[in-house]
Amino acid sequence: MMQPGSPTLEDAGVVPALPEDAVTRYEPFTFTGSGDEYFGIWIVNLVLSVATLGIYSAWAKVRRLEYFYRHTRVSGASFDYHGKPLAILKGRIFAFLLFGGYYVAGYISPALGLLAAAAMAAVLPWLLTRSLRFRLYNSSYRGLRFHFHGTPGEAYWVFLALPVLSFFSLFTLVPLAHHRLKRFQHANASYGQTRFTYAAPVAAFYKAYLMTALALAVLTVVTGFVVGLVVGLGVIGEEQTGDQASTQQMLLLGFFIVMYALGATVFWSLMTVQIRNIVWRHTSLGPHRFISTLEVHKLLAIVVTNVLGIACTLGLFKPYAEVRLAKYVIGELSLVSSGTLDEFVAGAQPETAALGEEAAELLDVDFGI
Amino acid sequence: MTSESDRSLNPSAAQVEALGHVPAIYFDGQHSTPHSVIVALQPSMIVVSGAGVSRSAPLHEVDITEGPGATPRLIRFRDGAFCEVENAAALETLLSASRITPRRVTRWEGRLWWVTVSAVLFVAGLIAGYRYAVPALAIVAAEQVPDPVVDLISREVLSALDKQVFEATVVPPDRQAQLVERFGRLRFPSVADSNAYDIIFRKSELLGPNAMALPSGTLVITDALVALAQKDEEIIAVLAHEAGHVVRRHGLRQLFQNSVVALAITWLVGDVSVLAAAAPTALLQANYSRDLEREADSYAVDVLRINNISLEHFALILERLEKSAREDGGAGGGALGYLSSHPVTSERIERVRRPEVTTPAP
Repeated sequence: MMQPGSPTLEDAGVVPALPEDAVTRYEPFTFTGSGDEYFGIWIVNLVLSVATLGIYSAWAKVRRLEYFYRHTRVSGASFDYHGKPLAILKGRIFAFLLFGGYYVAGYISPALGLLAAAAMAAVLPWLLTRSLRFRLYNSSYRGLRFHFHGTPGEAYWVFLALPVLSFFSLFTLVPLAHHRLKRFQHANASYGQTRFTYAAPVAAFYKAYLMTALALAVLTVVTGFVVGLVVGLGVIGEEQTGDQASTQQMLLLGFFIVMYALGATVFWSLMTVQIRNIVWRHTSLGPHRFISTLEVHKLLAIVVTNVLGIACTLGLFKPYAEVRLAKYVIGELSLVSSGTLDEFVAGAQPETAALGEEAAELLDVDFGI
Repeated sequence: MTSESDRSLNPSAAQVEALGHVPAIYFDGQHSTPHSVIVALQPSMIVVSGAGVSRSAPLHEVDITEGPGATPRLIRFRDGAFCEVENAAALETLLSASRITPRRVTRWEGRLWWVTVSAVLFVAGLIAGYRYAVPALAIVAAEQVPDPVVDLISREVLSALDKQVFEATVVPPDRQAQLVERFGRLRFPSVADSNAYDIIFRKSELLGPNAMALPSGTLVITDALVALAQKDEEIIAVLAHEAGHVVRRHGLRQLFQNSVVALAITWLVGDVSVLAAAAPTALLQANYSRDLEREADSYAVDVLRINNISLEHFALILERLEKSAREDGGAGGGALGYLSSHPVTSERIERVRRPEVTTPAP
């Protein structure tokens, strides 16, 4: 499972314009886990979580993150995760109460729900900042912790003000808001004492959104044409009994559901590939840079087969799906190192509680760094 | 690995007989610089030595990681320093020599038969949970909801519907009174069922001929349905079906079941693709909804038989509804929405016309 020697510029295939420098090297990230191995961890986590009515899920989470972090390697060393299960358990209970209260309030009365939504909006940015601090503080590489320096003030701007503004701008500001969100995450992170810097142009985000919109428009027109054709032929068929009509409508319904799922997957893949590539190409750590070389068709193939696999096995394929995705996404990330990686120094930041992270998890916010 | 201790490496190790040693990479927790070291294990101490590194700690103060899986084994000190041991097997031998055995969880994770049994249990659990546990729990949970909450929910739902889909009815008041009176004369399978129903009339372009039940016992019937029915008994049959939804607390049960399904699917598929998770959720929820419709149909059949009303009336109105939905051509809440939440109508009509299939009346 050891990392092979670091390949040179030529080996990496994709070569951005960099000065010819003897010490510049491509250090690919690798994920060394395997589906079979993770399956055992996943299923034991699951069974114990169910058997303990969810209490074990905090330990399970630590186990899962340890697995993914320690199997992620770059330049001959692996990452490590240090979160404490009890801290996570507390966060989970808090998040459960928070979202449970919100849900119940919304169901009992719309007015109460609106009030609860406003209260949630007010605390969420603060929670998300805590979440990032907790997650980064508990991540390490070569024994040095990562840190997050974003303030709640910035978080209110990024998570609350900008989304509201983009809504009122008829969504024309969405790419800008997305850019600022990524900047908030990346530019506020540090490895030991060394800050990450982030310099992605906003135009790149607009381009990514435009390309995605175009691709989806083409997809919609094509499927719309096919559906129109099928329905048209069906109507010409005429004089069906009720049963035939019902069956036909069921088929049509199934078709719509499949098309919806496929459309959603295509959208997700297009966005993930473009945004991840842009963000990492413009992130650096001291003199070192990153590069991400994801490709839409490859990611799409993985995600589609993953969804099919999970559906066909009633969920048992999930651990394999997670590993396949991690192997590809992590494997396409490289560190473009300029000089040695041996000279980073630890920074100081107090430990943070897990409250925010779990709240963010239930909201399905992805903070992959 | 040799088991003899290498006295030249570390003088302190010479004092106690070491159980053995393994090579490792050491990081001090303050710098990212790797150091090649030798880790020696003594009965109660761990000693790390190498160029520029010399430290030791009692065994109970270090954390020796076990997996998960084949992840590198780390020996973590309390101050953040750690050793990464490349040769996991050698460390294993060393640890078992000092009687440090892996935790039970770690052993489970690696055992194929245990994993397989768990996997089978998992799938069986999912199916059983979906088919039996969730619906059964939903019944219990629905019973627990206090009446004031049920009333509050019903009022809010009705006022929302009144704003969005309903208009004032144009059914003449005496016709309304006639139907309400006819329904009021019905006898129900159990005395507890005949609680006060509140029958109200509304007009709706969007819903067409339709009826719905609110958990509090308010039954809404649309003008189009009153117009579609050719006999009062047909309307009574539909209302009996809706009363079944109320008696069996379907509204609350559905809310509970759907929430559980949505949570479970998001958890299972959510991080593969959040958006794609919506499709299976919709399908599984529709299946639950069909179960509830069948239950309400059975209830309606019971009510009709007790009151000596021919089941044919129920079958006829179902046929009329089906025909009207088809002619509507899927507009608005038409055919597609209707089909996804109701069983195929021909099957329902079949069940009504062959009542031995349904639960017999008491």
